[in-house]
Amino acid sequence: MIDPSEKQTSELTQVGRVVATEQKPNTAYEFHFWTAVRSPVGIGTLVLVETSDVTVYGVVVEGWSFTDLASPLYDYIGLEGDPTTQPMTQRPEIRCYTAAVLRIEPEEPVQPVPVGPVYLADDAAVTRALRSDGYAEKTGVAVGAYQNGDIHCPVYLDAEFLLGPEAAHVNLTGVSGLATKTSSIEFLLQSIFASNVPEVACVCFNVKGHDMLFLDHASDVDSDHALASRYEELEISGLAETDRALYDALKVPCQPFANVRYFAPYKEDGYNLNTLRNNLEISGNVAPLAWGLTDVFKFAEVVLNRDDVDAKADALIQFINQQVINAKNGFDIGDNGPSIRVQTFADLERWFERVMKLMEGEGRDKGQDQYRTHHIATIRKVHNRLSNLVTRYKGLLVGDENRADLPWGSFEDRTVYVIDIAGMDAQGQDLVVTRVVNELREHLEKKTLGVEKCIVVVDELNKYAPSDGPETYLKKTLLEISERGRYLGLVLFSAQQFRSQVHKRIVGNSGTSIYGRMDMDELATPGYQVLTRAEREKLATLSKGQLMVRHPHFSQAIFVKFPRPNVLRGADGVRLFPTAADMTVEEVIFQEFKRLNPAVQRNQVREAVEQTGVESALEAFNRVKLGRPEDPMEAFRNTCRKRADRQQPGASTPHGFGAPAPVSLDDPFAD
Amino acid sequence: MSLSGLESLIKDCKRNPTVRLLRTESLTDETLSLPEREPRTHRSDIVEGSVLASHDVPKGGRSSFTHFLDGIERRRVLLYSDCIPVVWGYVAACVRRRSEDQLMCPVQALTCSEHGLYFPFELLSPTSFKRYEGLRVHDVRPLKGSETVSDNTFDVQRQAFNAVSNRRAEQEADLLQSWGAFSSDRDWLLVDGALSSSFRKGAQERVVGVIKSHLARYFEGDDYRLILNLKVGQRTSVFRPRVPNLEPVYSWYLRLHDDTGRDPTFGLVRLEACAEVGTLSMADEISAWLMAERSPLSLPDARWDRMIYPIYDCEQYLKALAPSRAHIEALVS
Repeated sequence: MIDPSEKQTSELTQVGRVVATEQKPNTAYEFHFWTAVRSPVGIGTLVLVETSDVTVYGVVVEGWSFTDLASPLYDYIGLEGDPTTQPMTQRPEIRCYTAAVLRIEPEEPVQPVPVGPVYLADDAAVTRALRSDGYAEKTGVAVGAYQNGDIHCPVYLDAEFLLGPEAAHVNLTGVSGLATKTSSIEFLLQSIFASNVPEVACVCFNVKGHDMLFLDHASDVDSDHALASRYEELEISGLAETDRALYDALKVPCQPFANVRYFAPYKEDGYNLNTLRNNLEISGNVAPLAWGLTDVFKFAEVVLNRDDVDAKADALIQFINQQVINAKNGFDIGDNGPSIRVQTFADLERWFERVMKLMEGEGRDKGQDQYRTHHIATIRKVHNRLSNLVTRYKGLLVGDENRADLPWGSFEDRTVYVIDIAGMDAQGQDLVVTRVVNELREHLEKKTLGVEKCIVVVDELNKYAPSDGPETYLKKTLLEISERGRYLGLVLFSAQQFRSQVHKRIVGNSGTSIYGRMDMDELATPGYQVLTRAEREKLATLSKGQLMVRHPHFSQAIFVKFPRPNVLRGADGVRLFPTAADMTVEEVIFQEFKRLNPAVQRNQVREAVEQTGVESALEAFNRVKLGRPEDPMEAFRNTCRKRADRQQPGASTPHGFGAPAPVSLDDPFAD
Repeated sequence: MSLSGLESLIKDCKRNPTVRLLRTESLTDETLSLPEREPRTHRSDIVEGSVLASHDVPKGGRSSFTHFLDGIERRRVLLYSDCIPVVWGYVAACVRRRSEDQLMCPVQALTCSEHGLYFPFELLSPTSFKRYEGLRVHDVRPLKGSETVSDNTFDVQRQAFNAVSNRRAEQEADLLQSWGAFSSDRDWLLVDGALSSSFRKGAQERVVGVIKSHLARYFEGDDYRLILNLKVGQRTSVFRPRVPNLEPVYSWYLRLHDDTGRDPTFGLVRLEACAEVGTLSMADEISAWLMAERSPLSLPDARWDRMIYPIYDCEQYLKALAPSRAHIEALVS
């Protein structure tokens, strides 16, 4: 028998010999070999067969073992029916494996694998087997390490096939709760940022819990760090030495993300951010997401109930979008009043008011039932639905012009933009994802995003792009990205628990597929029948940090191990930085200005707020933030003073923040 | 083992019109084609007690056999030269050791194999066959009782086949001698076959032979019936076979498996050990070792009732090393 520790040839360790029988012949794509019982070979092990003429690289995809026992009955008879009997002689046991060919050198002619010695692949052999010798230096992105015993060989993806233009997109599948999907995406992003890929940013949607809310904090800190005692007190477990060793082997800096910006909509109160990352210690890089009419109107079919948007309503919505909202010099309603510029929900409310007044009012058009070919009933219905949007998406949509958005046009290289929509309902999440992805696409098309490539991370893909169900706008958007994104530089990193439940065109267009531990039911679906039974069994039992990777350069799936990302886990993050209670408007304003200028006093804010009232102060605060003046506190006080002056008796009350106009009792479509 | 010499010979034969190369002859081995032998009866002396009796072997316990010896042979008529059959024979023998983890492993120094040509030099000159590398040439002697070799092709073939078997027996005997020098005091060797073979130079201590065939018998009448009626786990008294020209050994019969509903020789083996007093005292113990060796079974071998697994393992090992039938057929076709 071969002792695996003994036979070394050309620095490679021989572990077996190729065998070919009539029943199990070798082909150009598959070969069989046997090993000693204690050989370090298993499913996923990379091996090579070396003869004088050819070198064949393969990955073990199946294994079986047997003895010379022809029938279990023989064993039963031999032991006289007593399984506790110890036979005098152990039958010899053979371990046989089937390996799928990864590469043959020379590549022509394509011939069956010859009989010869089988060696464990070393670092160089792994690189050649995976064809990464051609791109590792230039466009390689480490996805993990191939591990066999003490061997930790980096496995590289080709950035041109990961982020385009040759191929693009990554799809991850794995059961929840094993730190597979989120962790592997985080590590892959770290690896991409550490690679030679030029100008790339990432937009992540945090759709549940606190998974991605602490990407800018390390999983542990040095003893001299300001937070060291709190880490220790909370017993936050840092990275294991094996993880750090993996980082070293993969040449990826073992650090949290250096540049992360967070975005979250407001809560319904309109001033507290709807995110778990609201602890004052770390909320400085959390910006609000507040969209106005022009931001979301073109996604009307996302925000409106599908049953509401019939052909007539759709025609009116298109009319408003094309001719009212986009009217350069304002829209002439035809009521002899001034042209109206519709830029906010409040403007639109005024537009509806004037149109309705025109149709129902005193003038020559009194009693008309159509306006510009749109029936009054349709107008009332659309008015009702649109005016409800601000209420329905309270916190995200704002009625006035105090918008807050992602920094379109000034995206920065190696920066992660996390949009926390975990606190939103499903429809709100749909709206955010749809609009952000569309904006990214449009900016990348025009090359105005600020970076060449942008990765969009979407979890729970089987919710957003299911294989069955209605054709939603979001699904169409995701399909378009998956099919055209690689030309634009818009790359989809999608994840889900059940790949079989995701639209086929999205997973099919993913150049790279990554699998974590899988559910056996999922593995039984037809999409996994290309894998051997042993591979499926291994997938069902993968431990944390282990993945199976399929990539255009790999002719077979490869098992790799990746380190736990050096970022603070969500659960630890909320312990270290507990979620703060909701604050008053005054407190929100004070904290924000204090962050910008520590000299700001609370009573300065209190006086300004008392001067103009809460809502008005909040509007003033938002306006000041948008203007980014040199002295925000002073600008805020001035704005409040002016507003207070306007609010003197006789001055009209401004429209309530985000509140829809009162609905007419005559409106048959009023809810 | 290289077959380059055989390959060269076959190539030459294909070019030589006076040589008839047999392309269809099948390769046979001992198990498939036992030499035709007549049953023989020998006399014997009972050395344990005064009459042949059955004894119950103590139950339980483990076997102390550490080494096992067996051999194989393969032969075929390769060609006819001047109408004289030339037989190609392959013989191999080995001693396999049972390690402490109960796995069988080879003893490289005690493994041997060879192949060669067997024909009567009296009828066919060996000169032209001696130049092939690794291919030994063996003379086939006349049958007992005759002075010259018959040119009857059937007789020649049979004699050549016997010569192959004899060569195998010689190899086994050589290994047995080598094992004596190789072994330690705690080692016990179980040999497949009789120790009293004409090629074996007498029985050694800590060596036991197990004989599966019963062509030679040593008792008649009631004694013979006692042997055939042994129950599983019973042995006979120890006796000393009286076979002319062979070294003396002690022997006894043992029933390994229940023969209910089967042939009376089912599971019946005869053991041989050196003819010393110590053997008498160890007959029960050695028999118990054999009983322990019944597991695992050597199925699917047809002789599983009498062949213990380590011997089966030796045979499989040697067969794995032997040139395959396909290889030989490919060479001659």
